[in-house]
Amino acid sequence: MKKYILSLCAMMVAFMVTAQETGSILIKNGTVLTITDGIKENTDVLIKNGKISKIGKNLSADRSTQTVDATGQFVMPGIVDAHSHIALETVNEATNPVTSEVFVGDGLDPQDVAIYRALAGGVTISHAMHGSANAIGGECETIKHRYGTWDPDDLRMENAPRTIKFALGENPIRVHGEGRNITPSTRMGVEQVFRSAFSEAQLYKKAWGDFNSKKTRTPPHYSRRMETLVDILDGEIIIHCHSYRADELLMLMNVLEDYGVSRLCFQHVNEGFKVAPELAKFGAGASVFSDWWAYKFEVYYSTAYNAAILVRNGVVTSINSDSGELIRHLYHEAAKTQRYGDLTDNEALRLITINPATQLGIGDRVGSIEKGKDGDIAIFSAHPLSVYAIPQMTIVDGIVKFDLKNDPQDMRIDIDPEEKFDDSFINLNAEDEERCMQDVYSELFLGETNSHAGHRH
Amino acid sequence: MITNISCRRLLWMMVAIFGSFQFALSQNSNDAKEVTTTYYVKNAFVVQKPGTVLSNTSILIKDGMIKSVGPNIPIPFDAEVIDADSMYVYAGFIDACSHAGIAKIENKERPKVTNPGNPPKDLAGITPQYTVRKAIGDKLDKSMGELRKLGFGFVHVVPRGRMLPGQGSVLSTGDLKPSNSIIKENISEFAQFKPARRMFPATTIGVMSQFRDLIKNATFSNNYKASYALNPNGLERPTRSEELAALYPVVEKKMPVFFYTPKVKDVNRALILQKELGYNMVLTGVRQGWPLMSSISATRNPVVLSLKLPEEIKDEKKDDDKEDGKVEGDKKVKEDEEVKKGEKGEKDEKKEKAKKKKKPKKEEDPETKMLKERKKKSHDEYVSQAAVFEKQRINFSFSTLDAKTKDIRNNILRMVKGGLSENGALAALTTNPASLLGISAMAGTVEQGKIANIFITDKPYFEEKSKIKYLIIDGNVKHIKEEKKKKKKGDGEKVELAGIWSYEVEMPGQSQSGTMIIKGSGDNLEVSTDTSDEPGDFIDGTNVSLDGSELSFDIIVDGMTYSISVEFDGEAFEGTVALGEFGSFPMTGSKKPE
Repeated sequence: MKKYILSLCAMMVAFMVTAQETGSILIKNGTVLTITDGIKENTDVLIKNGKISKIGKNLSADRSTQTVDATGQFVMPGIVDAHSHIALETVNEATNPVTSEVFVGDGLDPQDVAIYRALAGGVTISHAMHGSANAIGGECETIKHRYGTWDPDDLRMENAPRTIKFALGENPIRVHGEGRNITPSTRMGVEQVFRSAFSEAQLYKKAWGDFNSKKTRTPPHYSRRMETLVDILDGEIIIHCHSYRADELLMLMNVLEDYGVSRLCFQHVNEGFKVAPELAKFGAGASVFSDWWAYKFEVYYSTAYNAAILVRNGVVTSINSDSGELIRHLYHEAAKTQRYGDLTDNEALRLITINPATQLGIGDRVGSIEKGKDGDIAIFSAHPLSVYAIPQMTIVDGIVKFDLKNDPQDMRIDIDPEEKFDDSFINLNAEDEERCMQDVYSELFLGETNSHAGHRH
Repeated sequence: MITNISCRRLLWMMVAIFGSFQFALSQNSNDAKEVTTTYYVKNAFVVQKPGTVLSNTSILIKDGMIKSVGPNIPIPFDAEVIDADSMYVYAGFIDACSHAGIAKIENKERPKVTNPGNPPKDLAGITPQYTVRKAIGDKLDKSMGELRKLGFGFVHVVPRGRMLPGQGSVLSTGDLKPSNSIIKENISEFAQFKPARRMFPATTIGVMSQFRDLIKNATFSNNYKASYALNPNGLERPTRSEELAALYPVVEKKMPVFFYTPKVKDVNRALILQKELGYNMVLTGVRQGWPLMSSISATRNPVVLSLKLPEEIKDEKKDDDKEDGKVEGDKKVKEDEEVKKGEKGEKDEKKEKAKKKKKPKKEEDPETKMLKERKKKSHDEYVSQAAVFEKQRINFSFSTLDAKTKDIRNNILRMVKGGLSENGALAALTTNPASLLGISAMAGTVEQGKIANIFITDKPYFEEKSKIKYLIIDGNVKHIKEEKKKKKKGDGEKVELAGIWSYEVEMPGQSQSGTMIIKGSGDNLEVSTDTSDEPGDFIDGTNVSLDGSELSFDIIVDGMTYSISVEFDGEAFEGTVALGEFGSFPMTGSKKPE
């Protein structure tokens, strides 16, 4: 049902919105880290109308095509971040344990300067996620960092698969159980929220099926919450689940097996190393921090070897930022897996390119330098896993979106005409690095204040 | 009592008969009938509609209507004659969206909601069935009268509330009973991206989702109701939801949604919802719509621009001149003081040193300068939005939503300075909203047969110093009282404030007090203050400006800016200190004896 509506909308949108702006550019003589086809020295990459059209030596392009000399530099696919909250005005609709009806894509903020900062770290795509206040949160949006627009539609990656945020453990328990004394108050309760939601969705689907096949004549109550859950059951949406403990990872896989759902990627997944073979068997992805844990009780048991262990066990693994700051140096984060776990250069780079792209269902379009893929490129002064590497240029759809040589002081788009120039407030208003629980405390527990909850994953 | 009232009426009548109708018009009673309902506006420049000015024209008003407009209309025997020679007559302005007349909802204690995920609809802000009639009750809020004084004759009033506050009606701004002032009822559904408090929808994304849900369910329920009406046999009886029923006219495209979309993101979101759900929509209260000009123009949605503008940024050049002048002045003062130094005590020396230390702050660093330039550019874009819409030939009206009453006229003039044509501005205040609200047969122009809501100014409206002399609303003359002059010695003269003042600021838990020194006069005022914490350590005020008897300036202490704004009344002053996001606090003070 929703599919039909959505495709109708998509058609209408297609009529309204002009084709996405793309560019052509020739990158000369760099060391090309293709990710999927080895390293190519002194090689050119030609992007035509936003797509990679040629990779080879001594390529030429027509006069109108911009040429970039990358001699002595490293050319890699644009970095993909599978877990982020930049470019979002709203992160959590924390009023219910299940809010599958909401969509963070409705709250996109294309004027967020964090997009430009991410570009300055070579990141061309991020997964703008709902927060982790609810067992079943809202739908997320995969965005391309086409900074410089007022229109949120320009950010949306066309035809990227739908994704949704789930959350296990302490966050939904604290918000709903402790906060309001409703289910879930325990980890068992979280499981129950999933099961009753999916069961209700099955009934909803049947009720509409009966109505549409004229078995019944009264239309059931339309519910966006149920519509989305039905689409999950139908395999149209990839679940991205905030998670830490191994027992809960197994629990969710069991629940999904019972309901025939298979598209799953765990987020944070700090105890993933304990159940890596099980994750691999299920086909679940894992998107982790490189070396961060112990920020709350359920995250005490972890290791910096997590990513390496997951990779060696055949789990599609990525390293994410979950932060507007960390997103600027994901290449450093990836490099840590060489210190902890001895991953090869290419394995480490896969963690921030093709693997997160695969987890978002866009691995066939981005995440490596291959003919036909999107012209999303990051150019570094040195090998991106070197601590000396400095991002030089970031290209999205063949258009230069960041250039270190031309990096204006003020890249904000939306200027407050009543802005006050007051240093003293900078710290007070500093954006919290972590936004998984944004809107939760301010909305629910602290009343009118705008303060965020701080570091709470 | 009874005799009293009759006496008063008699008096009025007599006064009116003797030609001085001013007294009669100052009465506020809703019930008392005017002595005559016939007025004759004699020999004016009649701005009949945007672009049409008729000179030497008179207007006959009778029974609340414009009876005729022309050069040689005979004066009926019972008419009050308003001699409007060399004055200008305009059609009463139409406010395309406002909460005027509806009192602000006081912050009641929040009711406990047992299930914030599925709260009662009214608490969640979903009351599309609510009406302006109910919202006003039997007492119009004074905000309506304030708009009237500005020349507004009609207001499209929408209820206050959250995401779906209710339906809008058009009211005449006359001082009538609320039930009589509604001239077109329930013509619109008002919507805004305003979440509920601590319950669903608590966020913008929740509001968007809930909006889709409501419109979809209204569609299903409306269709089902129709098929049940056609043949109920074998069908479950339809359930009725007042909320959904109120949305039937919206899904049938018989009633537009006035979507409050001040900023570019709101405009975007409203356009997204409309694309998906397909109803008629009016983008309302738009303050920052120009970045999406092409999308707005493509959808052909009517637009209602906000009359709120950002705080005015004074011309940089003038400021610079002032600044220079000030610095030079300072030097002179210092030199003078050097000479006198010997006579002064140590304390004063300290003061001087403190003063010198603060000096470098006046030199603006390049970063601040750049930021200020961008801010100014952004400011100019807000001000010229209406001009840009006009150039793109997008039809728009104006709304007073968010605009402070005292700023409205000046903001209109600022927009005209920003490139909007006077005719364009006038159209956005009269003919455009009239057709948008479907009241063109009654309002929008000074033409025969329309409701007699007009106003008369001494000079053309768009001239800086023009003033409204008469208001005729619903055929009744509302005489404009000369505003009580504040205790200032006329506009041109400068108030003498120089001297030493003591002040007190009430802040929660503590009050600050200290001394304020004012030097100079007029445009060359210098203000410095000390604080309770560091008495005698005087800090120079910046951005000092004096408007009549109102003085405003900023003091920066430990990097925090205290914006002070006080009004002087003889030997005392009172006002507020605004401290950024911490709010503002009352400030009082008095002059210390010499």
